[in-house]
Amino acid sequence: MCVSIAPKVRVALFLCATAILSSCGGGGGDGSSQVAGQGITAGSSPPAPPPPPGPSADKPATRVDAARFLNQATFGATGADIDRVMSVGYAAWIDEQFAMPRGRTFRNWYLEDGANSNSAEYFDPNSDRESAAWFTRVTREPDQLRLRMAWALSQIFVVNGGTLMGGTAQPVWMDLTADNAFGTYRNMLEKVTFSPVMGNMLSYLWNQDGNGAIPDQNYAREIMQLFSIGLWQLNQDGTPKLDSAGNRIPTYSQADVVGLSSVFTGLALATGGDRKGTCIGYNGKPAQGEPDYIACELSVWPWTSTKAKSFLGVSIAALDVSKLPANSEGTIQAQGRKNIGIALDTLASHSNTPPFIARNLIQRFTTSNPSPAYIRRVADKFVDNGNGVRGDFKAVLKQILLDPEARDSAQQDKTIYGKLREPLLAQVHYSRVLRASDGKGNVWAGSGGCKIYHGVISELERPYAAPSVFNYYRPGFSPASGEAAKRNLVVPEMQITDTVAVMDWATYVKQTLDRGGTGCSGGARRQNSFDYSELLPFADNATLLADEVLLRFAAGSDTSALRSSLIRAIQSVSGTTSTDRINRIKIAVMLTLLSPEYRVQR
Amino acid sequence: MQKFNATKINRRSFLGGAALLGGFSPLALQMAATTANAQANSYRALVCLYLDGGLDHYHTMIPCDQTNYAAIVGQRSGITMPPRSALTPLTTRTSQGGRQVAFHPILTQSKRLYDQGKLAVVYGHGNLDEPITRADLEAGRVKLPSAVGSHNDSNAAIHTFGLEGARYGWGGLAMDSLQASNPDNLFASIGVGQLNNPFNDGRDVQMIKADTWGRATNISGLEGTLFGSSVASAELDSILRRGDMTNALDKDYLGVNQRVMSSYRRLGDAFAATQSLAPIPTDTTLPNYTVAWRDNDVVASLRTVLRCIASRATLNVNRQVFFINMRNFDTHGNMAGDLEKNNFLRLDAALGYFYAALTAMGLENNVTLFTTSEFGRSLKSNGDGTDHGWGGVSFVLGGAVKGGDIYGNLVDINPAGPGFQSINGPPISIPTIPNQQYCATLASWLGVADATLPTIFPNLNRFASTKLGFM
Repeated sequence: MCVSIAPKVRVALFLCATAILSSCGGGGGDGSSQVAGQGITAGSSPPAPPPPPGPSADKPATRVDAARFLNQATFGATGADIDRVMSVGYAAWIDEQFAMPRGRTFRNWYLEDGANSNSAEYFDPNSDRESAAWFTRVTREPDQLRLRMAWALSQIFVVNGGTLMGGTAQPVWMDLTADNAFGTYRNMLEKVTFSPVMGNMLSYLWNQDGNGAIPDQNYAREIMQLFSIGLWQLNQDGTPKLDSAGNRIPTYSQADVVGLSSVFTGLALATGGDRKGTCIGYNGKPAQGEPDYIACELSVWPWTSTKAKSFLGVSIAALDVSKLPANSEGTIQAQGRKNIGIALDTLASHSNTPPFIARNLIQRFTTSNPSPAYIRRVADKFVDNGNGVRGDFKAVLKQILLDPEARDSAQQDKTIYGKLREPLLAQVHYSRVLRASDGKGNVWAGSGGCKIYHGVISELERPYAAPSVFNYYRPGFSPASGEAAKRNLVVPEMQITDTVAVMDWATYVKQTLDRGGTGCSGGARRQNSFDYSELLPFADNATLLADEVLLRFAAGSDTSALRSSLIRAIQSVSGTTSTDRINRIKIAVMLTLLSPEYRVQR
Repeated sequence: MQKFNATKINRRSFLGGAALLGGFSPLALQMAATTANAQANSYRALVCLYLDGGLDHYHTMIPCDQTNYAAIVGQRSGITMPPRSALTPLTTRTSQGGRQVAFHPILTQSKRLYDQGKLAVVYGHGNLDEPITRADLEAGRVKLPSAVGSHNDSNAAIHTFGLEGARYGWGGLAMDSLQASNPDNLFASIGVGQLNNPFNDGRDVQMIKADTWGRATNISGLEGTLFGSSVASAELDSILRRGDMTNALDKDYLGVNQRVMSSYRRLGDAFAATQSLAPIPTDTTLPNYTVAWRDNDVVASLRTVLRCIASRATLNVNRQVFFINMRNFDTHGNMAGDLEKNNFLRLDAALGYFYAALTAMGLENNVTLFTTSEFGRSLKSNGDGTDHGWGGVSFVLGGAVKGGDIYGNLVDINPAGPGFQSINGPPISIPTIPNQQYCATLASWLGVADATLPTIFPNLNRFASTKLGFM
């Protein structure tokens, strides 16, 4: 069976999944592993650092300032959140978010909706349910900073949840990133490495060294290139280190990839016999089906490589199995687990990791082209949160959002500041402001009928389903021509904002304003409707309506020209019927959503 | 609407196409053939089909002489190789020292096209800035190119000849040099389907994106009224046409919108006029073809290419490059499922479909399709898949191709031999043909002048010859 000491055969995973349902063990027995689905609790996190000094600790001067902050920190400013930030200030709002309960798991979303892990609908590849779970959570629920951080982390630790494991990996990864959003980097790396989802994504499940095969190098390469240290040696401010000839210096060689590949061996699902564990599923009971089972942690099996290994200046001596007494499987397993720990420690403590992760996260929240000083300040928080803890995501996040370059417009170069809103962020923001819902509390994301892009506007971006481990777009992407190219700027999201995507966005906005959003479940069409109640009080006054729409969508942009256009367009509909009033709102929303003042978040 | 002349249909081509394509529409064919005759003398296009992830060249072109078959089977534990009896050695014009290779048996259309002289195999090309031998590497006289092993950098290397982040691709640069051939360069460089690639981008010529399924409309809300208001529609138009933005991101976002506004109505009209061209077959016409035709996005993308080509008169182009990304070749595992049953079947069907459709349009000599991949794969198995390699294999397909031959030297499957290096890991094959030479041969056929080639392919002159002779 698949649990014998076997060569890496991933096809076996699914067989395994059904064969070991009742005995899916967790952890590797070292006591540090946590029960899947329960996540990183506040108790395991370091204490919050004191707020940094400067203008960033202040309360916003205007509602526009508050909305601008919320558009960076959430999936879109709501009226209630604007009021709250005005009242308590930026830092206190962040602390409230940190203290907020974990919120619904994505798995529970299904349970509450009456589905369970065995339902046909859950596994229906033509269903929009995975996407709808995410859209519903991020559109309607209050733990916005956690969800936005989870979304950012999912674009660094990327899995293609849309095709992995029959699509069931998607909600598992949504939960894993949300669980770890306010934890530490090192713990995130641990959870990612021991997840069957990543094991499947980067093909190290059942990875072995010997029996005529070499260890699979996939994870060894990508954990370095994409999840931790990157290709080139960096200074703390994110600028590349240069050799005497002025060339960039690689962080690792192929030999490091090969050395590290032998560490990630022996990883497979725990089951049976002495490894009988307690893999608790989302519903609090022993894992019963595939979504539960793939939320379990991998174990290190006795066929992990015992050869000597070296990578990134670290050497691990061989374990001489011939000198071990009989029945020493546990010793070999413990050594294998320890080796992985050494590898993850090495990556987490590498000097490249703080600036590499800092730059990536800044790009997801505030601006595509942060100054080296901004990167350095965030990287410094990564190194030490103020209490000696490295990689504390809360401290990193707070610095990203409260940094002078994020808050103080005098610190920003207006000609380059900001980030292009990716299709999904634009779509969710729109749904939040217009309070999309199907009447049962769910948000469906499509514009057409069933099977249209699985319910998202762009086939280039589906939630938690990037086409490869390289994400939907690359952090260093720079368009070939145009103004950003001329100025050597990167615009990552431009990589998926091509002519088709721009056409689709306009079509989506128009169609959803015409008839609400739609989705698909179990082959049946589900229908959203919009709630215009927050904007209706302004619908009879063109100036007030323009200002309210611009506040919600384009806070932070210079909107003087757009505002004049909006007012003229709104005034062109003069009637007083409810249709006229709604049409004025629709016109203001449509013109704003297609404008660069909206699509560039700043 | 163009007039057509039934007598000009190439009847043999039509039948050849019909055999594969089932319900091919005679009307669309006649239109296409007429246009072909008007322009066939001057029109040329290259279609780059990128096999994203790194094609396992040993599983594609399987060594099948007795010695090397035994050797490759020995390297590939855990991977099921077809029995030697199922492999038909390719005939070659040049001697390969007794070494033989065969297409994987699933690749029936590729083999047929090879045997008909329409498909060439380029063997052992890869990312090389200078000639490299095993002895040079082991003595430390040369270093591996820095991109080797990395997906994104090797992808950049074969499409831009830089590392990731390089802006200009050789398709776009080739079109830059051919701008005078086109009355209009708006549609000179087209990317089809998902995943954009800098291959398409030149300094002057910019990529235009075409949707896989041929959707192209103007920005919604610009034509007619918007929620009952023509003023709103006009205001939207002026918002999107602004040229006075000072933020670079604003400017570039508007730039993409303006490209839609200036091109998508024309493209949409062209697609509408070719609605029935080269229909995707609905029946199972190929042996072993278990993927539904409508689920083969490569076929859909190639059909969009064909519709663009058929519209060349209205799009006003004589030279074009196209790019299609075909995903999931990174076969670290599950070789039988991912590579054979999914990718090989889809790729092979797509090549057969494309050549038959081109022939039916009378354009088989005017269009050349070629494959790229970032690298070949490791010689040794990792249990059920293979890892990143270096040298690899590509196909070139078209009536202008000197097909039915292998370009490049087959090497013995011997990890200790000169064809491999293992200085810092398990053995990977050393390329003998630089990617630059492979691609320059294609660019030259498209019309790029010899003097221009080194400006697009920067290290071309470090090698003894600039072209491979398959065109």
